[in-house]
Amino acid sequence: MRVSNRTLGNIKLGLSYLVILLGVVFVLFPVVWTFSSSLNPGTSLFSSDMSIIPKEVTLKHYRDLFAETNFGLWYRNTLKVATATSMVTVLLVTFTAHAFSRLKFYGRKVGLVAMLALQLFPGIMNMVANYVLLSLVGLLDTHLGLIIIYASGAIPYNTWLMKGYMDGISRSLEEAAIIDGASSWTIMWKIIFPLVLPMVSVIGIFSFVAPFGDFLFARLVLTTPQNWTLAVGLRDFISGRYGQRYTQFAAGSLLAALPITILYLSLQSLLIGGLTRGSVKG
Amino acid sequence: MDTQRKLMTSNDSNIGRHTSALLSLIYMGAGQIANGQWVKGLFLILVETLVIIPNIPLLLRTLKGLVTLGEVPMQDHSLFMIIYGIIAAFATVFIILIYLLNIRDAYENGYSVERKPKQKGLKATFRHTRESGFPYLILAPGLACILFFTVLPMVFNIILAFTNYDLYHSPPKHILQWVGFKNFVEFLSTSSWSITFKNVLIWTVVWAVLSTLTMYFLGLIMAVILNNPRIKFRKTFRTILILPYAIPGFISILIWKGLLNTNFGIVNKILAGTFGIQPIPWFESVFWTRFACVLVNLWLGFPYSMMLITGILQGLPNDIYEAATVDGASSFQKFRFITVPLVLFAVAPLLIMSFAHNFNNFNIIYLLNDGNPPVFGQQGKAGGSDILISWVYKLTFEALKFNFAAAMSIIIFLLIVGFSIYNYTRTRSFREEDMLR
Amino acid sequence: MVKQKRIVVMALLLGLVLLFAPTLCLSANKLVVWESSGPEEEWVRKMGELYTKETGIVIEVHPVDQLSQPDKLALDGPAGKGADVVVWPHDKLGQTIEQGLLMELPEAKLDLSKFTGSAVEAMKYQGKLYGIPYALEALALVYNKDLLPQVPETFDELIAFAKKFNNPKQNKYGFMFDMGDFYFAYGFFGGFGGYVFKDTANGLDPDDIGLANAGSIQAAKYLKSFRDSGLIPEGTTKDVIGGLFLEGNLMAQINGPWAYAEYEEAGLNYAVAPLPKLSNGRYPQTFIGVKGYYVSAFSKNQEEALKFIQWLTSKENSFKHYEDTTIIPTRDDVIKMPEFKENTTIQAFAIQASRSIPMPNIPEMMQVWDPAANAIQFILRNQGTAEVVLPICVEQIKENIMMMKR
Repeated sequence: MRVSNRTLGNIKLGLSYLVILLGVVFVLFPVVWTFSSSLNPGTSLFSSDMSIIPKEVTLKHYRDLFAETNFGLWYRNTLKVATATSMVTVLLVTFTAHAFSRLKFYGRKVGLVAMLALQLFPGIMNMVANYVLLSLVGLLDTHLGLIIIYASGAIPYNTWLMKGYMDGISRSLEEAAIIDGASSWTIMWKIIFPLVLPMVSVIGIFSFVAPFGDFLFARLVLTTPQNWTLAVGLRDFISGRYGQRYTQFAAGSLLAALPITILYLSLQSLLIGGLTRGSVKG
Repeated sequence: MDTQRKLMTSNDSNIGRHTSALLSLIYMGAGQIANGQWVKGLFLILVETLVIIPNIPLLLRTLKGLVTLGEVPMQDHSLFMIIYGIIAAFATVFIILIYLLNIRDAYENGYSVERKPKQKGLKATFRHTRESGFPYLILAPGLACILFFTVLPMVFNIILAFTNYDLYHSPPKHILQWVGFKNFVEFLSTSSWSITFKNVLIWTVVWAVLSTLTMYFLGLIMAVILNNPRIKFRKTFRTILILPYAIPGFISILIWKGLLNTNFGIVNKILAGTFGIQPIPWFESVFWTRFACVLVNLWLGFPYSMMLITGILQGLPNDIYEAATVDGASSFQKFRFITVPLVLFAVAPLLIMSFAHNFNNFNIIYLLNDGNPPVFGQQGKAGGSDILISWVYKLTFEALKFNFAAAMSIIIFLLIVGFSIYNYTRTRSFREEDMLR
Repeated sequence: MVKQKRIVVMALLLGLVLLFAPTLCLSANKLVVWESSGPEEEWVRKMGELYTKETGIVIEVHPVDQLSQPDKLALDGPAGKGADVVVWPHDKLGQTIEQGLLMELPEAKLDLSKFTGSAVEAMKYQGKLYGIPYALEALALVYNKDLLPQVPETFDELIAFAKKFNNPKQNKYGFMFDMGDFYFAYGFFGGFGGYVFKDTANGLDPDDIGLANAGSIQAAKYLKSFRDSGLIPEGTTKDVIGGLFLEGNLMAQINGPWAYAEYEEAGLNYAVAPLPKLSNGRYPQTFIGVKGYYVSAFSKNQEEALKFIQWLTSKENSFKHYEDTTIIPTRDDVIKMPEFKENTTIQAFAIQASRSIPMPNIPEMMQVWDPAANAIQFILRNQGTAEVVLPICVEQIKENIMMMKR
């Protein structure tokens, strides 16, 4: 061998680092740009000089977000909706997944696939139906209405994930518990639930993040600007036919992305672990 | 004969399980009374008398509203009537179910009365329901949510597809009318669109495939590379690479839109300045817009597949790799013959779900360039990057032809389900083969 | 039998909902108004209090975004919870009237002579009046006074100046506007003799589309000249225009009153002027957007509502409206007031408005925007000449309209 294994290994290592670097650039590029635009005075993202640090740097947009718009309020609203959605989703999903994974009932085999298949239906008219439904029960323009709909939408896929994870838990624990006289309820909460916590975190995080990004439906439901979530408010900055405030949008977007990013970063290993065993059958 | 005589003498309040069932059919609780379960029987009778019977006129009226869609304009709102009607239909099915359970309960208790003197009283039934009915109990809230917020809108949509709901026939000014299959026929028979439909469909399929594959491929590469223990700061890198997933999608798409502006976007400026490449007409050319859609989608989606595959890799058994090393396999061979098949095997159902999801990925197409650039000579409002669902949205929803939109969404649904089943069966057999091997 | 309990609950719930759907009727002493939250809402509320003092009728203002009001009214109106007075941009008028949301106003009984003609036109559908206008939005020439001390008489002269200043390599541009937005481009079509829908005594005729006539072709060619001369390159979006202008790198643009708040803040030496004459001696006929007050068809207090909106749009109240929210008033007698003489910006918009037509408010208009914008793009991108592209565009629009009416 003319080229030693060592050198080959180093070349491969070098290549790997190169690929990683490219990936990092690919990822950070828009983020850095957004950040620099948010420091740009004026309302346009566009600026002629095109350097990473703009000629004039101002924190005005960040200040204005809190001083002149309801950004802080929207943030609180979104955190409230997101947390509630997350909790409701986890609760409901634990219930349904437990049933599909550990219990026998009519329609068990078909049920899960049916749920997933239902979600494939293009929801063009869904908005109309959900709007009318919420209006019927008086939950229009409320956060509760939004939470219920978000949670409902999250059930099928997350149940599938959680069920996969639960399937990996051996039956022996339950059998022992039954012999000891435990009720089904106790088994679900005291035995199974603690064992699926990694997946619970995954589902909890995903369903927490979703309300940050939905503006279509939230905008339809929430008519009072005081009730708006971040997505609706941010979208409002730039959706007017005229008078768009792109730089303020940039600033707001970064701030909105912050908690999610931190959440993801700190819970990374949990996420990966949960994702694997949940979605993969092999 | 023998048994019957025995039964007749064992308990004089017993009149046979079939009769009990029959009684419960006629009136809820009657059979239970006949079985000697006074409390339960009375309870059920009360339920039927106070709850079900008084509401039957209401139910019937609401169901009728579903059929007629209203009679007085400005007073009857057809959309409301449809929703009420669907809810009433759910309630009716539910009541029928309870009724059937009641009959079964009477039958079984009649049966056990025949066999043993002890029957299940109300308390015992409650307890029994809690246990054997437990799955249904805990499924109930989730099921209710899905019923009301997924099934109901879908049924609503299907119903609307058979009405004439559009701008000129909007409630409450107008009462909707049933039009049978007219919407489907009219939409599909506009011949100038059949070519457009074909083009859009082809691109939709290509798009779904490309977007899914690129996403998983990049995720695979990144996951494998970062799995190498010789790389330093792996956790940090992984962290950075997750960023696109953390930023809400619509924000990122809009930012990319600005970056890819032909004459004023930074991407072209850099390409021109550093590499001397002519400005790429990102949003003016059909090819480059499609490229941009795949690119941006890749940016948004690969962190997810990367995380997923990392998890899978960490779960793969090491011994196969060691055996391969002993056999003298290069790392590339290991990758190609061990990693890829194993990952593919694990990830296959997700690929299909991803495909179905991207098939309908309205968001990115709409936000990035609204399906543009417009294609000269192509009919029917379809732009160069429009996929089936965004095109249908433009054609129908934007023309306020909600009935057409509803009809087409059914067709798209059937298409997707068809594709998914086809792919699923192929992976199924692929997986089963693998296991046999 | 936990399940039986659930039926009870469900039946009760359903019963409750149906019971409360029709609400008790509003008392005759109260009017509900919907307005977008912000300065407008506050203004109506303030005026409402004045009105209550004068007449004793209570005015309740709920914040509802103008663009959401039609959908909300369609649902709340029949249930008795809708507003009495609603507001939205005039181009939604046709659509919302077809849906049965608005009451026709007795034009004969109202005196609208002092209102700006085109604004009142905007409030009509099929010849009938449905609203009283209170604000309009127009386009005008917004320019940098340091770079262009005086606006020339004709457009061609303006373009000549612009070309001299234009230097893309140094990021300097002479004249720009978003050509991809038909709302902005239409001014040229109108000015050269094109039209969207023919105006007849009965309102706009959706079957007569003038976007392929000689005037339109000439307008399209004029637009193409902007692209070919390098004045307005591909990718010129509103964002880009705003950025360049703020930097002082853009000499002139076409824009509306929403645009210059930030120029004020930045201390830019800008000015607003009506658009100069075209080569055929006529002025560009831009679109104006009009906002008006309408009366809900479901309102139980229609008489009172009508009285209120008349009062709200009186001469002095219109002026107050301008003072509080800086809208462009829709009354000629207000614009001629001495207080306005110095306000060159308002004068500019008013003059341009007098040369403008309202955006067509018929539902068919919805089918025009995209094909028209696309047609312009094809021409700009050399994918077809104006003579070829425009007739195809009109065909497309007609087909879309036919589809909508099926």
